[in-house]
Amino acid sequence: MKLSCEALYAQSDVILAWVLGLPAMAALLLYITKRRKWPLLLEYARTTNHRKIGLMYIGGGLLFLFRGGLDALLIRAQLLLPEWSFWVLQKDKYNGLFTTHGTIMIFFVAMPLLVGLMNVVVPLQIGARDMAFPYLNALSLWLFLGGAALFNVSFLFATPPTAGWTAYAPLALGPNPGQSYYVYSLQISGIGTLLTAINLLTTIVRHRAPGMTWARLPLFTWASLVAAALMLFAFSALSAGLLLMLMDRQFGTDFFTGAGSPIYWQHLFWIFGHPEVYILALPAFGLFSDIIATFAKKPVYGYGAMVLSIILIGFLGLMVWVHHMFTVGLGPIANTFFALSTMAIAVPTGIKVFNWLFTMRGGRLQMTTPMLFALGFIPSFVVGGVTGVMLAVPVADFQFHDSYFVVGHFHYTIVGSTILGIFAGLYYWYPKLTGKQLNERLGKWHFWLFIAGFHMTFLPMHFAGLQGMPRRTYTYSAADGVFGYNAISSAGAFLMGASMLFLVWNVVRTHRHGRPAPADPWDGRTLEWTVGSPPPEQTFEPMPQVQSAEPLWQAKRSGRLMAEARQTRPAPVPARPLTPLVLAGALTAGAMAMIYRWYVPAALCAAVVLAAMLIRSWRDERIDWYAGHVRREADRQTLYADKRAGVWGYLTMDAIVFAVFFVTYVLYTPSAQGPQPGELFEPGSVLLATLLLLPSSATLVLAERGLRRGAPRLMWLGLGATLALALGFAIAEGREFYTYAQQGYTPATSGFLAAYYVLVGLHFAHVLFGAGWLASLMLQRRAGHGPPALLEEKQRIFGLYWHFVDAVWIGIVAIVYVPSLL
Amino acid sequence: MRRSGRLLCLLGGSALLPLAGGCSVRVLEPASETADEQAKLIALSFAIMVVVTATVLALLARFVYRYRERPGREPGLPEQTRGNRWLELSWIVVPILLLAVLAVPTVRLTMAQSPGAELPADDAEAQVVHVEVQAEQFAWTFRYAGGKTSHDTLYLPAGYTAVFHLQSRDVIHSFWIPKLGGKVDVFPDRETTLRLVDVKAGEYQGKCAEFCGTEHAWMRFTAHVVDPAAYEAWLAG
Ligand code: HEM
Ligand SMILES: [Cu+2]
Ligand SMILES: [Cu+2]
Repeated sequence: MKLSCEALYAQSDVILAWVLGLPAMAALLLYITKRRKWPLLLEYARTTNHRKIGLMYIGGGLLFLFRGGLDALLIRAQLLLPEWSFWVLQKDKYNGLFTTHGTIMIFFVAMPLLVGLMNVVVPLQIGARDMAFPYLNALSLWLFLGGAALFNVSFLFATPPTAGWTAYAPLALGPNPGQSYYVYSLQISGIGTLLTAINLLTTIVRHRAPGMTWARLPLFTWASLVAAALMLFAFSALSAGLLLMLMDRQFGTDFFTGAGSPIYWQHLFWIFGHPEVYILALPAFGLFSDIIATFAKKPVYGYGAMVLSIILIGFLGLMVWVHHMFTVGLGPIANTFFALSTMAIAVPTGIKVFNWLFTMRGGRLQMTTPMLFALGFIPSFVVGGVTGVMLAVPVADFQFHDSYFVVGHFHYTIVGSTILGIFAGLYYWYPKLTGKQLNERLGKWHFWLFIAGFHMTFLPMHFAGLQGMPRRTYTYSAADGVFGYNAISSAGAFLMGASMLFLVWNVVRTHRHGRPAPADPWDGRTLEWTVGSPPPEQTFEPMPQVQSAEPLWQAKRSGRLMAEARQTRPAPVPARPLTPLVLAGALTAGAMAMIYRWYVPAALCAAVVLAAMLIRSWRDERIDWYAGHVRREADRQTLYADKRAGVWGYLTMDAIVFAVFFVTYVLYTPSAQGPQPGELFEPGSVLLATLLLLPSSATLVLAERGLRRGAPRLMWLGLGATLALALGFAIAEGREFYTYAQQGYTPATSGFLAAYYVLVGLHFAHVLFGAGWLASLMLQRRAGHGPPALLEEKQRIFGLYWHFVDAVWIGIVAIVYVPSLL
Repeated sequence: MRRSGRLLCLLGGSALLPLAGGCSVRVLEPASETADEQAKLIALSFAIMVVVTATVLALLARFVYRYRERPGREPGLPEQTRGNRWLELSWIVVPILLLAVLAVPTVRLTMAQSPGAELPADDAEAQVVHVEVQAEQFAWTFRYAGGKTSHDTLYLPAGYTAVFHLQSRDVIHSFWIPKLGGKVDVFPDRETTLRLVDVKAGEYQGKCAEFCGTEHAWMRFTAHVVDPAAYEAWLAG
C-alpha cells in the first residue's frame, strides 16, 4: 500500500490520537514513578473494598465520559453547517463516531458511573460492611475495564464499529473488525455487569443492618435493588444475543441473515435494550429522592408509592421492548399491545414526579449543588417522559422513528435523568467517595452551564426530526431546512463541554486544597452519614440497630445516640488478590486474538483464564479467614447462605441464557435445507448420554449424604462416581458432535444445526467445566486443603451447579431430542 | 387539517426557537390523508403532554419560589409530612384518564395503519396505485404497473392511494416521505407494505430512515405527485 498524503490525511484522526496518546501515556507513567504512586496503584489493583472499587468505576466512567463527550463534540462540529466537511469526519468516519459515542456512553459511562455510586453508597445506606462478595466485586470491575479498553482499541486501529450502538444485522455482520470489537467488548463488560447484579442483589437482600426492614430502605437502595434485578435479566439476554451474533460473524452461521432473521436480533437487542433504559433511570430516580428529601429537610413524600412505582416501572419495563420496532411490521395487534404497555409506564413515573414535587412543598429548600441538579432534573426528565408517551403512539412513531426527534427524546431521558443524577450523586456523596467536599461555587457554575447547554443541544433536535431529519446522517442539505436547529444544537453542545471543565477544575482543586469533610456535611437522614468521610475499611463498628426509615435524622432530632445492635452478622470476607486483574486481562487479550482469528494465542489466554480460576480456588481468601476470624458455626452458616444466594443469582442468569437458546432452537428448527433432526439424531447415543448424566446427580447426592453423616467412604465413592459419569457423558456427547462433523454437518450447515450446536454445545461446556471443578475439589479434599467446613461448603455449592446442569439436559432431551424421535 | 400542525408549531417550535427559520416542519404539514391522521394524533398527544408538563413546571416553580431557603424566613424545621392519600390518588387517577383519552384514537389508528394491517375492503374500488420499491445501498428503484422503472424519483398520481411493496437487496433500510406519512422498514428476504391514502399534488423529499451504511445520509429520492393525466403520460412515455 502506498502511503500518499491523502491516505495519511484520511486517517489523521487516528494518527492524532496516537501522537497525543503515547506521550500522554509516557508522561503519566513518569508522573506515577516520580510521585512514587506505584504502591498506591498496586494497592488499588488488589483491593476488594467496596469504596475503592466504586471509586475506580467512577474514575473509569468519567474518563470514558470525556472520550464519549469528545465524540459528541466532533459529531456536532460535523453537523454545524449543511453539506459541510469538518476535518475527515464524514461517511464511515462519522458512522464510527456516533457508534462509538452511543456505545461508550451507555456501556462505559452511564453504567460504570451508576455501578460505582451503588458500590460506594448502597452498603453504607443499609449498614453492610462491604458488598456481599468482595472478590467478585473486584472481578466485575476489571471485566468492565477490560471490555472498555478493548472497545477503545478498535478506534486506535482505525476500525471502530460503524453500525450504531444497536448493531442491527445484516449491516453489523459486514467485514469490519470493529463489529467484532463491539461484540467481544460488550460480552466481557457484560459479564462484569452480571456479576455486579448478583453482588448487589445479595448485598441488599442479606446484608442489611438489624432492623433495616424493606419499609425502611432508602430509595436509592430500593432503586438499585430493582435495577440489579433488571440487570440480571437484561444482560443475560444480551449475552445470549451477542453469542449468536458472534457465531454469525466468526463461524459462518446465519442466525440474523439469509435463512435467519434480522428481526430476531432486534428482538434480542431490545429485550435487553429497553430494560437497560430503566437500569439507567431507576438509580437516578432513587438518588434524587434521597437528595430532595435531604435538602427539603423533609422525609420523602409517599414513600410506599415511591417503592411500588419503582417496582412497577421495573416490571413493566420488561414488556415494552417492541415500541422500538413499531415500523418493522410485526402487525397491528403487536403494535397496539406494546403501545398500551408503554403508555402504562407513564403512570408510575408520574407518581414519582408528583411525589418529588410534594416532598418539596412545605419544606426548607437548600439550594446546594446536588439540589440544583435535582431541580434541573425534574423538568428535563418530564420533557423526556412526555415525548416518550408521544413515541408510544405507533402511528405517531411512524413519523418520529429513526429521526432526530428520537435522538432528542432519549437524550432528555438519559442525560436528563442518568447524567444529571450521576453529577448530583457525585457532589452529594463526594465526601463518602474521597473524604473531601467539592466546591459549591464551581459546582453551581457546572450546573448552570450544563443545564443551559443541555436544553440548547437537545430541544432543537425534536424539531429537526419533525422537519424530516433522519438520525445517523453525517450531513444534510440546505433545502432540508434544518440548519437553524443544528446550529443551535452544536452551540449548546460546546457549552455543555465547557461546563465539564468546571467539574475537572473542581475535582483538581478539591484534591489539592480541599479540607477534610465531616461525616455528615449535609445534615443527612440515612446511615451513610453516620460513618466517617471517607468511611474506614471497617465500617459500622458498632453496628446500628435501625429503628426507622431515617435513623440518623431521628437520632439527631431526639438528641439520642443511635441504638446499637447486640447481634451482628459476620462481615464479607476481604482479600488482596491479583487474579481478578489477571483473569480479566487474559480474557480481554484472548478476545482480541479471537477477533483476528489468532487461535493459538487465544487458546493460551483461555488457559490463563482457567489457571486464574484454579489459583483463586486453591488460594481462597476464606481459608485463612475461616481459621482466624469465623469461629462460630452460626457465622459460617450465614456466610454459606450468602454464597448460596449468589449462586442462585448465577443460576438464574444461566437459565435465562439457556432459555434464549431453547427459544432459538425452536424458532430455527426444522430448517428449509440441510438434514432434519429426525434424520440426524441417533436414539442410542442420546439414551447413553442421558443414562450417564442423570445418575450423576444421584451419586452426588450420595456424596453429600456421606459428607453429612461423616462417612468418608460413601462420600469418596459418590464423588468418584460423579466424576466418572461426567467424563463418560462428555465422551458420549463429544462422539456425537464428532460423528456429525464427520458427515460434514457444522454450525454453518443450517439454522437448525447452528441452534443445535449453540444450545447443546453450551451445555457440553458446562459439563466439562463441572468435571474440572469437581476434580479440583476432590484434589483439595485429598490434600486436606483448607478447613473442612470450607470444603463442605464448596462441595454443596458445586452440587447446586451440577443439579442445574442435569436439569438443563432434561430440557434438551425433551425439546431437542424427543420431538425428533417421535 | 393544517391548523393542527400550525397550532402545534406555535405552541412548541416558534415560541421557543424563533431563530430556527420560521416554522415549517414537514411532519406537521401533511399532504396525504394518512399523514394528516398522524399529524392530528401527534397534535393531540402533544396537547395532552403540554398540560402535564405545564402542571409540573407550575408546581415546581411555585414550590421552589415559595419554599426556598432565604434569609428572613423563619428558621426551624419544616413539618415532617409523609404523604396524603387523596392527593396521591389524584396523581394516579388523572394521568390514567389522560392516557385513556390518548389511547382510544391510538388503538383505532394503530389497528388501521400498522404495516401488516388488513387493507380496507373499499380499497378495491378506490383509486389505488401499486409501486414495487427496491432499496439497496444507497439507491431506490421504483417499478410501476406495466413495468416502467425509475431511480431515486418516484411518480404518483394525485388523489390516489399509493401502496408500496418494499424489499431490500442488502441491509435494512426504511422508506420515508415525511409529508406523505410515516415510515416502514425495508428488509432483505421479506416484503413489507406501506399504504398512503389520498396523496396531494406536490414535490416531496423522500429519505432512507434506517441507518444502512456509509452513504445513508444521501440515500434519498424525490416524490413527484402529479395529476393523474400527467402520471399516465409519464408512465406511457
Ligand atoms: C455532550 C453531550 C452529548 C451530545 C452533544 C450528544 C450528541 C449526540 C448526537 C448528535 C447523536 C446523534 C448522532 C446521529 O444520529 O448521527 C447522539 C447519539 C447518541 N447518544 Fe449522545 N450526546 C451527548 C451525550 C450523551 C450521553 C450522556 C449519552 C448516554 C449516556 C448519549 C447516548 C447516545 C446514544 C445511545 C446515541 C445513539 C447512537 C446511535 O445512533 O447508535 N449521548 N448523541
Ligand atoms: Cu424502549
Ligand atoms: Cu439508510
